[in-house]
Amino acid sequence: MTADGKAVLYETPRALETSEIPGVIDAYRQAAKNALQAGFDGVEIHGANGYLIEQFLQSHTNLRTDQYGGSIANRVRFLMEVTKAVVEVWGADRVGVRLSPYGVANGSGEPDPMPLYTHAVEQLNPLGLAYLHFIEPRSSGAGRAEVNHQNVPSAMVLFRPIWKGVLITAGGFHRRGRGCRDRRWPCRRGRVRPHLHLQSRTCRAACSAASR
Amino acid sequence: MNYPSLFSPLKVGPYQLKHRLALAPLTRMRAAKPSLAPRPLNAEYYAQRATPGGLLIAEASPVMETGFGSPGVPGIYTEQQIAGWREVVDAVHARGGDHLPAALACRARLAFLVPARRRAAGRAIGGADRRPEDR
Repeated sequence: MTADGKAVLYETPRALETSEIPGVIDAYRQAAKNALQAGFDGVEIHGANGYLIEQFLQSHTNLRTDQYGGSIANRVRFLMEVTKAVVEVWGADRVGVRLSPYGVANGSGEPDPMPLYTHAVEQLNPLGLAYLHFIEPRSSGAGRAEVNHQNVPSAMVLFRPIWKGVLITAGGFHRRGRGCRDRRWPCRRGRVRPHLHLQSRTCRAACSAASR
Repeated sequence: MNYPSLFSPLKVGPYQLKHRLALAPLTRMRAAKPSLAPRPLNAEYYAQRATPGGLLIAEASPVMETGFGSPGVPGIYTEQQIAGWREVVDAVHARGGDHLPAALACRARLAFLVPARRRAAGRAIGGADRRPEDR
C-alpha cells in the first residue's frame, strides 16, 4: 500500500549492506534527539513485532553472514548498538526497550527464544535502563490468530528472575469475568493472574514490582 | 484496595509513578498526511488516556522515511513531526504529572508504502533478505 492508500504489489526487500548499518543506527540516534526536542520524558526502543531490530534478533528473518548474523551474540549486536546510541542521547535511566521473544508478527520467528533473549537481557542489564518491556508470549502484535505459544509461561515468569530493573509486560490482560467483545481476541477465563485484572485487555501493560 | 501492588507507586528511571498501569505503544495510524506529523487528534487521543503519575508510551514512530509499515503512522524525523509531537507531549503533561516516553521504531522490510517519488533510495531495506514464504 502506498502512503495515500493505494494498493500495490509488495516489493521484495533487500538486506542492508553491512556498511549501511551505521547510518541506520544514526537514524535512531537522531530520532532520540528529536524526541528530546519534542519534550518527551524518555524513549522506548521498539525491538518487537517484526520491526527492524527484531528482524536482526530472530533467525527466521536474519539470514546474514556478517557480524550481525549467525550466532546469538551477532544477532543481538544491532539491538545493543541502537540502544547504546540512544542511551548516549538520553542517559540510560530514561530509555526502555521493548521485545517480543515469542512474537510471530510480520513474519518474524525464533524456534528457541530463551537462549537468544536471555543473552539479550544479560547484555542490557549492565546499562541500567529505565525498564524492559515484553509482549507476553500468549499475545502477539499481530493478533491472537497467529499465536501458537499459549502454553509458554508469562514473560514475568521467564524474565523476572534474570532482568534486574523494572519489568513491563503487555498483552492478554482482561477484565475479570467479562468476555471480550472482539471475536478475534477471545476471552480466556482463568488466564490472568488474580492481581492483574485490568481495565482493558490489551491497551494497558502491567509493571511488575521493581527489584532494584 | 484490592490490588495493592498494581496501585502502589513505582520509580521508573528518574520518574515517580503513582500506579503501575501503563499505556503500551499502540499503532493508531492517525497522523496527518502526507506530512505524517501528529495533529490535534493525536494530542486529544493521548490526553484522554493520561492519569496523574501514569506512564503512557507513545506509538511506535519510524525513525526514518523508509521505516514505515502502515499508512498514517506518525514519524519522528522531520521538524513538522517534532512540532506535532510537541503538541501531544504538552497536552499529556497538562493533564498533570504524566510521563510520556516516545517509542522509536524502524519497520524497514515492512516498508512497502514509501511513495514512488521517494524511491530514490532504492528498494525497501531489511535486516536480511526475507524468506520467500514471507509476505
